[in-house]
Amino acid sequence: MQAVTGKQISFTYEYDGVSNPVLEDISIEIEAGEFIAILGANGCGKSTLVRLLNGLLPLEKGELKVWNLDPRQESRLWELRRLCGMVFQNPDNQFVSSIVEEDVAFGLRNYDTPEEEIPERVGRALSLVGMQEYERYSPHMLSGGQKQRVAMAGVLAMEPEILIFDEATSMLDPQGRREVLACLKQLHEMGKTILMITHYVEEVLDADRIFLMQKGKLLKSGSPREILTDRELLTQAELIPPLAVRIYYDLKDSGILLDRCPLTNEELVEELCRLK
Amino acid sequence: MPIEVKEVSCRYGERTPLEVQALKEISFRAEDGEFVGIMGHTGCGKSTLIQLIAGLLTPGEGQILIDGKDINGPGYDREELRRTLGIVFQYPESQLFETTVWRDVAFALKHLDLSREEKAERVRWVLEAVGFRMERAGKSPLSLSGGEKRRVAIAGVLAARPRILIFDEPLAGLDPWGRLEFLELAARLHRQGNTILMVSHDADALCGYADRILVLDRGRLSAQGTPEEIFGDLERAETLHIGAGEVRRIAQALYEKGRLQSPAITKYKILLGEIKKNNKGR
Repeated sequence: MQAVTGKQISFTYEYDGVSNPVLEDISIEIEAGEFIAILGANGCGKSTLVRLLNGLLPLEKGELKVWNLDPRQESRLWELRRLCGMVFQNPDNQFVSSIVEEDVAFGLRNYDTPEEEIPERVGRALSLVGMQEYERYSPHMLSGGQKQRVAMAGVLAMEPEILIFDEATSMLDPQGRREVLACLKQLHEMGKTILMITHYVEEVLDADRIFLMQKGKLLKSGSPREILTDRELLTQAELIPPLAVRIYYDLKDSGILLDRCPLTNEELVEELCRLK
Repeated sequence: MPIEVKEVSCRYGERTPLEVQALKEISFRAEDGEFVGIMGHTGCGKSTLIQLIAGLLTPGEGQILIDGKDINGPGYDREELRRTLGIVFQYPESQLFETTVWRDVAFALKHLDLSREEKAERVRWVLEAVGFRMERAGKSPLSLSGGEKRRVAIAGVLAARPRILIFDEPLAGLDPWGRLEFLELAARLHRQGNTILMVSHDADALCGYADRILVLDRGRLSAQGTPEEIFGDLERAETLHIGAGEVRRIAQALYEKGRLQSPAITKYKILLGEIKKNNKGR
């Protein structure tokens, strides 16, 4: 089943009478259950693209189907947003309540969920992100990674099929990033469709596919190995390859050739140890 | 003249049930022209520390001396501190407010004794320094992409040419080139003699650029030293609750396989140089 089908999507921001095209003719297909990472330089249109998916921005040009819904169909917008939840960059900007369990229940209450169902759904969402013991805490007393997991629980309580992470790890310390990534991996294993925007290449190694974007266009879609070991392609996209790939090419440039281009640091060490 | 932090402690919510000891008996010096990195787990007190140094919080105990003067002492001229020290907060782009990029950056110069031409020259210089394209200076700062907004916000702080620069997580949310460009800008400012304090979780970035790293752990200064000293012993770094960067971890793995003489390498160029040296002629 297709989770997302987009055909020839374009989008232009209008500001003070000046138009600023950010997406040009993008076509994408995402299978249900796929884990897609979206990479691209700042300003390439990543966030705009995912905001079209759940109707945060209005689709102007092109065709888009998310699950079985058309984001243009305003009468079903709430349904779309329930199906396609989004976690943003700054956890502090996402809290509406001063108690974790009320914060997680906020979306449910907005959707008129029967009050007797709420505690169970909140509890389930919090345990999915490993935060069940914090339901009575104030979000502000939590660490960055914990806050972001509570924000995830707020989305999960709605039982979405598609989860979008828009740089959800960029404000976290390494520990917090690991926590959020572990949750994300678990959700993928449960069969959720995941779209993740990030600037950390090491976070996308587990993705099924990478969408590489540049200046409003989809430059290429492919496996992490295909995309991340291609120095020319990444340079074209104004990105920097992972460290292992950089070392591979820098060695190659000075006449030391490894058998294959490593993607991870472990592979790099393995390849270097193979040199006689 | 250096920044001297002497026995500084700081509490939030004093005499309430929510009282938190944010910093406890912190002492260190940052020399003139030094690039000092500050690391530590979320909630360890990094942001409190830099706000104290910037004079935005007052310590419960202890002193902060800049250029030999206690910034919280009686008769201290706070305007002098504002001229000497610039601080770029986390996500500084949320502070953009003017109608154009040009006006936003020029706002910092409003109260400086400069002629119109000098101010215009200063705005041009600083926008160029942060790599912002001049032909876009007439745009609304709110219409820019995230990376561009960050540059403009940083330019607004640099425009007044403060000698001491404090950056709180300046790399968060930037793409890899944006990060590299920011670090190169910081390095340039450092070479020009500015003192730099930079809070970051990115060990590779701090190891590559900082002279010295301070580590905070639950409000205490748990270690300070060169990148090699801080990350020389990985087990110790682990007990300080800071993760080593990728360069250091690759060096460790190669060392354990007998492919490097020493594992205490934290800079990319040095790692690459060592690998080349050890594999010459292969």
